[in-house]
Amino acid sequence: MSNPQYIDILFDENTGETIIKIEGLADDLCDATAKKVMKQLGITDAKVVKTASHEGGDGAKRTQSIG
Amino acid sequence: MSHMVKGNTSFTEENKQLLIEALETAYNGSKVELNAQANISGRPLCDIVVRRNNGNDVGFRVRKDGTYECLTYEPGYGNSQNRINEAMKPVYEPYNRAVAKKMIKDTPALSGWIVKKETKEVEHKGKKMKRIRIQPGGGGGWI
Repeated sequence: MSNPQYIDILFDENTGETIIKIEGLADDLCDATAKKVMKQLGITDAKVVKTASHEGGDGAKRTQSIG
Repeated sequence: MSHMVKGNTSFTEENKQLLIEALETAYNGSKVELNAQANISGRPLCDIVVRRNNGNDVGFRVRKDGTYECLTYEPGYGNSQNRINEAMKPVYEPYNRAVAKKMIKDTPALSGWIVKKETKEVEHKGKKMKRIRIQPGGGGGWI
């Protein structure tokens, strides 16, 4: 089974609260993307939660939640 | 008692043009002016001013950290941040969508990725939120 790849921007339109969820990217790209998304969206006090992390060429996936 | 209120936003100066476009989308028909005085109590000078059709301007000033503070009019005794949130409600979606597109454009590793057209309502930890999804083009989103 292949892994899904996506970046979700979740936002509460009543408060502006924003959460980023990154799924299925390789580790290095995941970190770089997380930083870029946070910067672009002006998220300065984000908490990064790694819900899964795998390394190696095994079709690995990685998820980060930022919010 | 009516008065001016101000509050923080996460909009950044780096994305000024995206914010202007999002404001034009959110407040369709309103004029957006740069470096102008907002028609709010005290007529503050702002970097961006939205001349809303209802006569209540919304102004934005850059803060030291590069984010914008928002200034608007409070007709009663309301809470500042609540009033700001209410004014910003229609802006978040076009702004986040524009930022997502810019991020794809600026990130070679995301070449060929797309921002899905629809914004979905989702639940996150019991809270209703809206979701903009970025995924590889071609409709799959799977590797």
